[in-house]
Amino acid sequence: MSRWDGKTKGSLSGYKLFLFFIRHCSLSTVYALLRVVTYYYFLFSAKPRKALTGFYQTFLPLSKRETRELVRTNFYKFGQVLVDRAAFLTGKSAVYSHTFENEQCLLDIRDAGKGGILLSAHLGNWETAGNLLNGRITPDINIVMLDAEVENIKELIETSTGGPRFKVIPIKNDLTHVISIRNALRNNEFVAIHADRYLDGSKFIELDFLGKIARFPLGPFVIASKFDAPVTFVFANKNGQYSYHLSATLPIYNKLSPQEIAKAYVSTLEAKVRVYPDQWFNYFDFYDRTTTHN
Amino acid sequence: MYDNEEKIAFDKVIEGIRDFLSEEFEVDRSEIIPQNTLKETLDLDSLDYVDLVVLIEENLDIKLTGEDFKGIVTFGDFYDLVRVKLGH
Repeated sequence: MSRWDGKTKGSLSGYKLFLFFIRHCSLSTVYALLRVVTYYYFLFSAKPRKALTGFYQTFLPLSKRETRELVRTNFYKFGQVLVDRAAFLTGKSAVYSHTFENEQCLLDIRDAGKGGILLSAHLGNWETAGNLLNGRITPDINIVMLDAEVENIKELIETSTGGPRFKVIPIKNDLTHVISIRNALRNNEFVAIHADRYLDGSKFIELDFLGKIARFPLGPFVIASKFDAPVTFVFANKNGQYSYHLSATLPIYNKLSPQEIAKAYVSTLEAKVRVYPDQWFNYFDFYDRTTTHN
Repeated sequence: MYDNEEKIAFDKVIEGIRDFLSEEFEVDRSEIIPQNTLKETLDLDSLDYVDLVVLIEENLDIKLTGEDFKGIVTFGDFYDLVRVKLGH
């Protein structure tokens, strides 16, 4: 079974209700409602709860009670992030504030004229990061992602929110997305790729991550290594009720191997996870190495 | 006469393509023929596509789009694409 299939959980009616509350209620009310939903998921989503518990116990010296509390917080934060994402696109962006650590790095990359590869992870709110970066740093942000979302949910989100403010480069089983990435870089655009999840059947690299060996997709690091564009690691984490902390690392301009970039990325990701463990949104056994593909 | 010259010039391009593909993907040159498929012959996986795109651009100095590669299955299809891109 695949670790992750790229599809969001939830029904169309659930999404309609979700968007209705965001449109017609204050964000504090939606957050309050979210607490109830969080408890429901905490009680009935055994798999993600177990996966998160196992993840936290590998590197955090917490008691069982503290771990349970952290898992609950994680579910709640995840809900908040989904609310923020939709609220941001439905005209409530003014409610949010953000700080940007190393914004100048991204401005420098833009000014170098070779585009930029932004490696990120499912830690925090990457989609809002894409929306915030767009227009502020560069007119065009591309996000490389698996385009497996159920069609009617995708349509609903697009018609209700106007869709994201970044371009999506869908991952295909051929070289079209590779060419799209190449061309975006040539046009001095930014290309954001999530480098923390791999799909069964794709190539991976095994690295020590928070004290245990984990698999990371090799593809993003190969792209970062072979295409002649600066590389930086970016994250957007919720650091207050309505505020985000965006950060970028010093860009890598010289030619490094995919393995070298992967190691640097994992090291940065480790540091981020230690600061924001409650925003780790990978709800599967991250250390599962039983799949045989490579 | 002009057509013949153009054909000779394009044949050289094809030979160049066979050279760099054979060298980079370590495949016998004789296997790179119009009727064979790119994916199977070059044993391409998703990561090799990155190399292929870079090699094509570097060696042929052409700019590709994702659309260009839709329907490209064999080396023959690929040569036709190159011919169009180079304006032969």
